[in-house]
Amino acid sequence: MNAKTMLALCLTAFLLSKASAQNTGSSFKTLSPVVSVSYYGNILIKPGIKAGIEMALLQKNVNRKESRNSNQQVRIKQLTASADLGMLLFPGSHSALFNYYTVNYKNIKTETGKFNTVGIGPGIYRSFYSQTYEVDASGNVTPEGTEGRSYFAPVLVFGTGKYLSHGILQSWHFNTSIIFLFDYNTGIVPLLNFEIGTTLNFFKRK
Amino acid sequence: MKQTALFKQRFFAAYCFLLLQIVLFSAACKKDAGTMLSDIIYVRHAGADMPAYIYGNVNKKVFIVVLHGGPGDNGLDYRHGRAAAELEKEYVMVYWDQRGQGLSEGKFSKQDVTINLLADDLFALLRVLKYKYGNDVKIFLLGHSWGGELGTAFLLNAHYQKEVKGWIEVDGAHDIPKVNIETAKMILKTANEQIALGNSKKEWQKMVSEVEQTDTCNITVKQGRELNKKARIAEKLMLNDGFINKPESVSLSDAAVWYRQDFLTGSLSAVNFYLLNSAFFNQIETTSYTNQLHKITLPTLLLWGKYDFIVPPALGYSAFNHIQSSEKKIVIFAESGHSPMLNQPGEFVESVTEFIEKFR
Repeated sequence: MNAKTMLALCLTAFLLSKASAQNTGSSFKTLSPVVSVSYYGNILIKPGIKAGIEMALLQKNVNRKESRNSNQQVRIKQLTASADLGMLLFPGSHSALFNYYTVNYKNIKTETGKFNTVGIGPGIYRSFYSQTYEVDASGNVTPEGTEGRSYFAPVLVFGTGKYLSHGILQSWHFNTSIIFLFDYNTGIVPLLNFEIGTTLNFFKRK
Repeated sequence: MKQTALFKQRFFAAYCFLLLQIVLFSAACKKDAGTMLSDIIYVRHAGADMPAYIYGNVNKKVFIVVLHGGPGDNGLDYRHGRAAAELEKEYVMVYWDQRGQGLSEGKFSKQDVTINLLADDLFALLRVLKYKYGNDVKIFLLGHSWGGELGTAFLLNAHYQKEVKGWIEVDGAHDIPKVNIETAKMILKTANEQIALGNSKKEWQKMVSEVEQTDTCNITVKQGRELNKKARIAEKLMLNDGFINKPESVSLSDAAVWYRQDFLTGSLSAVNFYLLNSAFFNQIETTSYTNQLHKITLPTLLLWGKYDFIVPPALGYSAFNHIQSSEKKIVIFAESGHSPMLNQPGEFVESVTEFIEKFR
């Protein structure tokens, strides 16, 4: 197990332990950690799944009066940290596993429960090919089985969503993420994915 | 409570749908029964991992390796339409993503990328095909546009030339300096004809005034790219005025293939690989193989669209005159532009099939 993998696992373990330790209320007004489960990929053709854990680090209430006639609007600005693990599946070709950690800024409208998110953070991405054959300079062929490549893959996430009032189901979200694959052929290449998912609050107190 | 139950039901239905999608795609990628082959393999060579999508009838053991255009296109761009479907019924089509393009992955230096390296990659692919499907497979190369330049570079190596049974060049750019000169000439000639006929007069006149300023004895790389853009406009005018058959419309499944290819990743990878790699870009734009075409001695079929302004038919005639094969043929498609496989798919398949049946 290399250092990068160790670091990734330690960070996930740390977030999970912090999440277990902070069992508070379930609404978006608290710093309760949540688990997210999403359908991930380019939506129609290359399906994938992603699961992660998100924990609020900082929270600030902002009172704002939008117009002369309306009531006072309350916004919650949150800074959250999340760790995500996912896979993209295209059998026989370019399947992949990825793991990323993001710091997210979340703007929540308390009246409607709607929120917008933007996040950024480092990650790793591992592609998996189907049957691979290596050919040397003399033209000798060696079957290699299933191969793949690993990339340093920071991610940029933009999203929107809404809090629900359905017990364990805390919210739904739609995110667009761009994973930047470093050293991909001769440079840096973005991988665009979409995500539709829900967050589950297992840490709610009765 | 009622709302929660409804939400759970919807949630369950959505996940069932996703599961079904995964199962369907798994099934779609399995080998077909009988003689129809459906395989995806990767070739690892000199720092690149290149996928080859292999589909078609293996009965005759004839493999047509498609060399895509661009640089920047991908192998599966050539799988849509009637031509590919018809050819797959008879032969195995190998749609290969060249190094740095499509879904090819790897890690290599820009400085190492040359046309000859891509020719070596092609040799590696052919070695793998023979390793996997047997030494008795009969391989034909079909190179379109930039694929014509790559295929020519490959065939100039006598050792490599022995690996294939025949060469099909489709509107191939084996001499880009010559392409630029011929494009300028063809635009001016056609423009005068079209102006006389009263077709798209204003557009042709504008193009004439621009192209006339180009010194055809000294076309720079930048001017060459400008001519390439004008060639595309000229082809569009001829299409609009009914001289070129409308290409087959892209079906939903064809669009899905394109979508599946992570088009953004593939395109930007190609931008890094080609457009931002000035040494390789200049090599492609300045290489002329015309004086070496005599080294090609294997059966050759040259297929050109009459109204191809991007790589004019003059290149096809030039190749026909220089290639030293005793078995060579040129076919000009009267209602086609740069991609006769899309403008006249029936005639295209007929020409390819006749050639392969003769030399397989």
